[in-house]
Amino acid sequence: MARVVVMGAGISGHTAATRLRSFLPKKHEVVVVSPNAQWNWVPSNVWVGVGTLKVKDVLFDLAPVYKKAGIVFRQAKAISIHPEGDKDSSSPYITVEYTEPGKVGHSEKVTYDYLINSTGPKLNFAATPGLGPEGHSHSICTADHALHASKDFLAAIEKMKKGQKQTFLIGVGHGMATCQGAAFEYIFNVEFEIRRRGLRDLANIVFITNEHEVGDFGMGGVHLLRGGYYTHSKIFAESFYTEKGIKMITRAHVTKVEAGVAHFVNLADEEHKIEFDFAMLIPPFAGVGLTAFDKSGKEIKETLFAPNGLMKVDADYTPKAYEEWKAADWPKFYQNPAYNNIFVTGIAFAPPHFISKPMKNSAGTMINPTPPRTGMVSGIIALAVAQTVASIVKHGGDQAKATFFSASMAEIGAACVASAGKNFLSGRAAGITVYPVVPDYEKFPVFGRDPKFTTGEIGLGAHWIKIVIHHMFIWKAKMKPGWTFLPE
Amino acid sequence: MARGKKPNIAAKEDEIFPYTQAYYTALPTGVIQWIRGCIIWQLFRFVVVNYRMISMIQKSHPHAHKPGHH
Repeated sequence: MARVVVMGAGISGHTAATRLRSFLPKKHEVVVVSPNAQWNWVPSNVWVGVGTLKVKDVLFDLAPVYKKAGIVFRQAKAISIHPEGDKDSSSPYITVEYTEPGKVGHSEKVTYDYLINSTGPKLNFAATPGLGPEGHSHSICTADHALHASKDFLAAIEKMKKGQKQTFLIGVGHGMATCQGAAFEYIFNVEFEIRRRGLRDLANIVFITNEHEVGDFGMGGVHLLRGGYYTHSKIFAESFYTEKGIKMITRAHVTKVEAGVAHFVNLADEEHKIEFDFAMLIPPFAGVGLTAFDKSGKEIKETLFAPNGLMKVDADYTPKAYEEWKAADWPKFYQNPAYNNIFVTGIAFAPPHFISKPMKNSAGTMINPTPPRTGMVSGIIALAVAQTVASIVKHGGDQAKATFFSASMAEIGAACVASAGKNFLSGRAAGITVYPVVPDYEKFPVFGRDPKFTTGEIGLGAHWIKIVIHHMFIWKAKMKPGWTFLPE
Repeated sequence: MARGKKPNIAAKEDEIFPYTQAYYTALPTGVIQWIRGCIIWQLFRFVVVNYRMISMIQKSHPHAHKPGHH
């Protein structure tokens, strides 16, 4: 009997756990450790954030789903990893601290044969003073954050109904933030909801981003073949912002958020501030703060983790200039190099470097997006890891006999549906496919991506796809009939 | 600035003045905007974009490596 422990129950952790359960005979144990009692379909938080979807529509309780599936669930936060055990036992284990009502604060050792780290990111609001729901801006990174954002957004709408002008500042709140796609979706949904109410003339809507150009999305942008030209996504994104009368501030690092004022510096060293009535600024991500100890109790955090707290995997972390970056630098199997029974999925793995070109101003402030890892990418990585771990378990732990499954971000694509307004007949979305996520200039010279599978268009049809995806993935996550046939 | 007839583009006229960022941007015509919401055409695009995404997703799923070849 083998025990696989999955830390985290977000999109990638839940995928890894449910897939493993379906691959492994019942004699093996799958344990999920997550501080959250509920699963969140994060891509639809954007609709919660403008009040067009209720929180309950993007959440469901994990415990009954896991109970039915035969997955052991511990509502607890992982604190430390002990990959060699301790002086009393050589069985590897993690320590957890319960968040479950009635057990809050209780600690426990959870032993494992295989560990999958799917802890996702820490929303690092502290990186920018005043950033976040406890400061002076909103976020839509969690359902709860999105709900709070919607309340203030709807309050701003009420003010406009009384004739007051409002400034909406939406984007990213740090020079090293990612998830520009979420900010992109949110700003167009905000604009859509304001316009739908006939209040557009009273709204000043401003997008602020650390991208060198809009449409970069943390992956250097993409080239789309349209109208006989290979055209960069900057052209399409800039067109859409302009069409909707949204002002753009690019190459910006938000240094401080005060009540109604955001301060920022740009790549040209210019310091500016902008006043706002409502702000939604995505924070940068960091590791969740896990630590690790060897058998003697000595901390070995640097063995398992990169300095940003994300876990090291089979990537090439040799520092290189942008011009020397290769697709082969990116991990294939998401296996920790120091302990081969530890795997990582989703945002928890440390990328070898950025995808966008690193930029800094003369003061040395980095202003460029960090690599995005969307739901599809996280899901596919989780599936690959689940397949690999299942094969290892079935071969009695003999990794030389097991089949390994790869999912390098330089070999997989991403399908993104970016909402630009939620209405069955007047809604819009951008349907985008990118292949591969990390450009491979050896395989696809000039643009690094396959033009056949790198496409994008705006329309009502893409909005319908977003609705289908919302229902399909929640159905799948609830492990309802046929869920194993649905792709990641 | 004196202006003639506004071309059939989607952006608000007031937002666009020469030598501003918006002036240099590609903008959709009214026809393109109409197509984005045309039910019949969008039903067709729904099928096309779905097919495109499914093809790309199939291409993106994990690759198996024979034992000892990883």
